[in-house]
Amino acid sequence: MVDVIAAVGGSTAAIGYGLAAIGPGIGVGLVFSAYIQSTARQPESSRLTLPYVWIGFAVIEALALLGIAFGFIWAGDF
Amino acid sequence: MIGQSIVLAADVPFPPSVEDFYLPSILPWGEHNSYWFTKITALLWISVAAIIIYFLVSYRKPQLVPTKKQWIAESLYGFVRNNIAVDMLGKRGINFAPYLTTLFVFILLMNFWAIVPIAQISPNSHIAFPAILAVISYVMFIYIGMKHHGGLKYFKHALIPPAPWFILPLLIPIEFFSTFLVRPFSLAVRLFANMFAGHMLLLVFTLGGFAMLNANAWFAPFSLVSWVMTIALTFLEFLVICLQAYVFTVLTASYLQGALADEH
Amino acid sequence: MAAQKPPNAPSGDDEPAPPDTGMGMTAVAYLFSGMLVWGAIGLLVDHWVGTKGIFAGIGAVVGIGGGVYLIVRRLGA
Repeated sequence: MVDVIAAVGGSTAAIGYGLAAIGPGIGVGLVFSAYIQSTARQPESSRLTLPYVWIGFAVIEALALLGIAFGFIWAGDF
Repeated sequence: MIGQSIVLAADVPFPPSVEDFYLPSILPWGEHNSYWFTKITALLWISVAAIIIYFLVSYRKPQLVPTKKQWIAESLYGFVRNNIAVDMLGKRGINFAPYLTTLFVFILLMNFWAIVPIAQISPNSHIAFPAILAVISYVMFIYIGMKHHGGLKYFKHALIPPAPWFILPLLIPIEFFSTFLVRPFSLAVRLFANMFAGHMLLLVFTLGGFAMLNANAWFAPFSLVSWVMTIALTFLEFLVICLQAYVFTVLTASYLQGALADEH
Repeated sequence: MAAQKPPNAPSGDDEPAPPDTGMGMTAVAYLFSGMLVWGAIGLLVDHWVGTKGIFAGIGAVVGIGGGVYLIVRRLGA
């Protein structure tokens, strides 16, 4: 038996979600930064690019939301 | 009221709780089982009366070169009509501009009580008021949709997205949930939560100042900082007030837009 | 700078331009409701079958997939 010197209490799912949120955070940031840049360079194109912004946002944000969901669903079960 | 607060300053209940939103009864003064007329009720009546009287008086004798009163009333209406109704609903928006203006002005005034010195609480920090407003908007956009598309066709239009038939069973519950359940809920809760949190925040900083002063005389500078923060937060609260009134109106308009949309 | 065109006149003339105010809320609402609806159904299936959250997980993935699909169809396109 190994002596436990330090232990993490509470739900480790929170740590997992913290790690899982990094990627979608960067991704959503990239999507909107690209949209802002393209709109600043070419204001007429904003209507053209907006649908792709929402598609990209949805696909990326889905990952972050799945992170929340899995944190709740499998919190401490396995 | 000021004398009362000085007396209370001796032992302020520091962490403010939900109880602080249930104000004492006014008309049977201090009554504990009859709450039919409280400060909330009074503020509601004052808001309604103020809006009705103001708009009646300023439109009593409309002039070509508007007086100041008329100018304010006209620019309020013009703002909602041009920037919200017509912007989002197109030509048809003019039909909805009166309702949207009423909604905007009413919510704005009701929220504004949160930072008026004596009132200091917004009726909208009780869920009942935003809930009823949301129900009105909810019933209205469904009714408008049913009138525009005709009865069950509206629900067909709203619930069945353009998709191949084999994923429809997957999508229809999502559409139903997000259109008919989440919308009124989020509309009501957004306004309520903002007003509730704003009042709570101001309470925490005001009462916190008293609590620190009572705990230890050396904390006096910090309680001064706390009260300065209260003033700063009051200005922030003003921003939130205007923003939430605007957001509520814009979202109502956008739901109407969704109900009136022809194809998609 | 001087050659830059002024922003388009306030909409209303060229097309019934819907501003993007509601779109973000709509997108997030679709994602959340997809996840909640099918996650809840999966949770019920879990209770019924007796598993420990496998179906809720599958439901959440499927539901969020549906939400993304709805966003692509309604906001994209």
